[in-house]
Amino acid sequence: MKVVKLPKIDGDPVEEVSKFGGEGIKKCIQCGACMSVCPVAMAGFNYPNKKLFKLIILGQRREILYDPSPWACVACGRCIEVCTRDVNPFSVYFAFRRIQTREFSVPSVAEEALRNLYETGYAVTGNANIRKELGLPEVKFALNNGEALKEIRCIIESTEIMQLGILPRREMF
Amino acid sequence: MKIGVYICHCGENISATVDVDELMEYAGKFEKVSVVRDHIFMCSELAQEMIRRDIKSGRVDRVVIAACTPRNHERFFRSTLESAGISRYMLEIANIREQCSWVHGDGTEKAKKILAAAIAKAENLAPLNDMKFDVEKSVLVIGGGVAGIVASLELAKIGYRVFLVEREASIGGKMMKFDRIFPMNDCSSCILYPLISEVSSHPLIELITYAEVEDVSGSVGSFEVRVRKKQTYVDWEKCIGCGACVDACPPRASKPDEFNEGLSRRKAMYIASPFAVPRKAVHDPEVCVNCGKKVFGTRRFLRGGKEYLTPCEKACPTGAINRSIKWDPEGETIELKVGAIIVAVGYRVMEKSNFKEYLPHSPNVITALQFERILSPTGPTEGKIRRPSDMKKPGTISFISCVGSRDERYHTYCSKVCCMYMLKQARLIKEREPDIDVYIHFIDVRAPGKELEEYYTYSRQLGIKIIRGKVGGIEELSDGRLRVMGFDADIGVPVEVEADLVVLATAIELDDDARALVKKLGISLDTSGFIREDHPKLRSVESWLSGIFIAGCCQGPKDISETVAQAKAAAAAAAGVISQDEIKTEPFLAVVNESLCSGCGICTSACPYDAVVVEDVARVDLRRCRGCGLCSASCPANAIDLSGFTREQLMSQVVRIS
Amino acid sequence: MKYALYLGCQIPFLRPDLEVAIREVSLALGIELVDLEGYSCCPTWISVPSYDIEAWLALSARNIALAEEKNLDMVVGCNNCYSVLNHARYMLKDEKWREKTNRILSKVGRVYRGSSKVLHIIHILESVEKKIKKSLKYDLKGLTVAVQPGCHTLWPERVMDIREENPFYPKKLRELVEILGASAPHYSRMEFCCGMGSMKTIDYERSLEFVLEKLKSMKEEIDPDMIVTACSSCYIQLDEAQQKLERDGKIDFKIPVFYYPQILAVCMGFDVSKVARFSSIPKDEIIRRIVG
Repeated sequence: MKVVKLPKIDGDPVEEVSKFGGEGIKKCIQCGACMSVCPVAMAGFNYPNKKLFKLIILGQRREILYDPSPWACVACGRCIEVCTRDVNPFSVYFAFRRIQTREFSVPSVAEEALRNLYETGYAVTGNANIRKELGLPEVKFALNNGEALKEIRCIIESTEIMQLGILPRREMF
Repeated sequence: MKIGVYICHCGENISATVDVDELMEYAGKFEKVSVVRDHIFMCSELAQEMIRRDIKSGRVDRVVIAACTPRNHERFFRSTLESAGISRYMLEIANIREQCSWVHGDGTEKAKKILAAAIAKAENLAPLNDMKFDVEKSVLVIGGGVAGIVASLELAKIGYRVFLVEREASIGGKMMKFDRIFPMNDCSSCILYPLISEVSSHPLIELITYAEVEDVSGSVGSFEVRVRKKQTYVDWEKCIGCGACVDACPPRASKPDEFNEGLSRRKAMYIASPFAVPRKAVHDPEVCVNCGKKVFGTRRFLRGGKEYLTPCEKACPTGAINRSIKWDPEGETIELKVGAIIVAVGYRVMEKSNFKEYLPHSPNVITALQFERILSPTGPTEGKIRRPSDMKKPGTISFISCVGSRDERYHTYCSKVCCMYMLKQARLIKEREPDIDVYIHFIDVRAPGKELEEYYTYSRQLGIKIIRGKVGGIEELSDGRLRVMGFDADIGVPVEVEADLVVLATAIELDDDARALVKKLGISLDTSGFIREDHPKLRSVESWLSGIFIAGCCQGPKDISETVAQAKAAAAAAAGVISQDEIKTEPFLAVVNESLCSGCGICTSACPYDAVVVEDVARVDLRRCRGCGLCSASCPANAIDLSGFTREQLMSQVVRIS
Repeated sequence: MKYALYLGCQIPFLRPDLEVAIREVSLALGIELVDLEGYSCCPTWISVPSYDIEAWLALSARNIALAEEKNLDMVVGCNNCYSVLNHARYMLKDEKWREKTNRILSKVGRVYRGSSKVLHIIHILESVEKKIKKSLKYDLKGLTVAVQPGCHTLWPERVMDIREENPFYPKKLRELVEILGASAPHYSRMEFCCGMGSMKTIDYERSLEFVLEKLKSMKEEIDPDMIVTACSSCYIQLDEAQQKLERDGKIDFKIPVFYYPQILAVCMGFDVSKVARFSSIPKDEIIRRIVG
């Protein structure tokens, strides 16, 4: 980032973030409490929460749209706990992720997690044989339970996620 | 009956959302309305003259003003009527600003209803006479901090008698605890001590310390006040403040010292502070360990019939201590009569235990008021900069601002003085121990006021590190050190400071005792939790109850110079009241229609002010009545009315708009 | 004592030895665990919650509804599940979200009532402290443990039913470890995040640099014999990251990592080849020290 030219309003990103669950952004006074304890900031990503919020407030949506910082959030929730204005920085951060998913700015791991979940019911799966070897009981996981998987897909299919072009719309089985 | 209706535009405050022309046309249709006029500012002298002319010419004999809330200008408009020659009570205000134009997009229809109701009431108005009362030429000042002290002295200088009531055993308040004060960095005590000695020796000022106001009744000009003096077990007439009893009191009978903000301990027998005035010993029954199994309130005899005396009793050279007196939790009650009251009960700072993210369990995390004691030559380290855990000199000190202030979890207001006192404390560190590194974490630096910005910029030059960004947490390192997790907005990244001592600038707030007192007095709190002034600009030292004034931090955070200014203003305002020969009060009080009253007494239990008694029929003590209307509303026989708000008047309003 | 067991994905699919540990110690301590058939991903933060609130809440609500149908509180072993499900529970207290969610759930014949709590296995074990003490075959006397509570059980307090006295200075896991006889001193970065989750998947190098701070704080301040975590994510991260950091020459130590039910299972004498099967940092030596 060199010079940020103001005003550059890309629509109304504050309203947009609010719509996706980040309405707290309007209360932010940029005190910086969230930044002092944020793993995203400490690990050195470009736009940790408060900085991202400021750019959203300044209408600089394009500046940050393709930045991976929001996806580095570990959801630790510490920012919520220390926020002085009840902004819920975590929710704003996630709201911006949701905007990014609608602009095809999704890291491949996040796409993969969503696809896996839709295919198998889980973001992460593994080798079921090891469980048998360890003598673990057989659990009817969604991935070997057609009825459950049907429910999970039905839920996902009745939401906006299907319009993002990441999941293939398929016939129910 | 000729009603004049005067509609104010209030600049554009009203006319932007209320169609004044339409409202005028509407008002003109009422049968009893003879004149309808508007004005851009109805409170201006030009508009007043217009109203006076209408009255004097006989075109108007009662007035409806459609403008702002009656809290604002009702008294002012009443005097307009009076000066034009009619009763000041032939006035009705239609509040079409606060209750209409400010809160509605298009307020015209609602304004019509408000106005119609006001006209209905105007039709039913009757001239009333002001109540007149004698004036007690004395003032009660509650709170012996700098605000109370200054207010007392000002009033005594004018020649009024003052009762100064203080909850602690000695006066001086928080200012006694400070080391130096900004912007001159002069000694707090040196400024305060002369005032304290003046107040304690002034013939017109009676100091009543270790006492609390229990109950207040009556009204402006004549308040009856009950003060409870807490039991000390020390005869203050005899006590010379030598401290022998304190020395004799065993160390196990102790608790954290209030004066040193818990950084040291005080005993069950104690003198409030090293330079206490009055300098008298006090016994704390909660801490007392009952030496020699002599429980306070009892006597004990040794074998042979000799009476056992506790160490404190034995040590007293003047025989002032008698622990055999029966413990009386009620203490001694004093009744006072005063013409006005000044509330100057100060503040408390929030305790660090509220702030989990700043690891309050660590002894090296302290509040700024505690640090003030460390800096003070009368404090636990005699002014040497040491940290509590091991009394070693800290290498690095971090200050954290806005702890509990500007924070929705605690208080949304700014505590106003923290920025400045942190800079002051930081400067005192640098002056005494230049090798200590000092960091101050601010959200923003707020230093408006005479010579304060200069104070701030000079602090930077001294090498005090200013970091703009709120601290989000503290981590505990070994050996009592702490890692302050901050953020620096200038470099845009988190910063970590390893500090030996962390000072929290915790918020200023009203304490619980003060809240209870506010209830007893019948005055009110604002949304910040401080005592509400009657008007934020024009009546900033008056409470909403006439005759009760406020001064100092109990009205909101302020520094010493502001506190003193406000205390003097409150004194002047109080003097303005009691200097009158008699006090006129508005006659909006309860009136009993004796022919309807059955003497059932429901009104007596409904009255929060003990103003109604039943002797055959109900009788209202007009000095106690505050015109709340509860008796009127609860009377099953409709035998009590409130002058100015009678059943007939109120019903006419309801009927008109329904 | 009966709970619905919500395993999540990491534990059954990636670290099933932790599942063995949870099941064995629960059984031995009289905690009855009922499997939730057909449960799905919680769904983890980087998946559905990053895309759509309604879909997230509906999937979380479905999982909780499975426990509600059994009239049981839910117990989880993974902090990430704990966090996602409790956040969802908190949001579903809002009438607006609950109505939307139940409208979606009605399509699959389920309903969310909000009657089942979501607890962590740590919270359950904490409540049977005395039983644990009685059932120990081995103890950790003389060993120093660095505990890693994991941020998701600490913040934000408002979404949780069971809280630390001070979430910024957590004590619960320390106390649980001390029951086993070890000393579990405080170290400065105890409340620090491990850098797992999406940070690791987005930028592994940065995530490693981040966890390095934590590992250094442990090593320099208390020099532990082992690390004990309450979270399966922290467990994987601390275990794998040390391997990588050591290979890169950034650290010169390797501290074995245990999941709390796992070290408890070891102390209770369960088969270590089953309860402590997979790890990057070898545990054999430390286990030998414990079981002799």
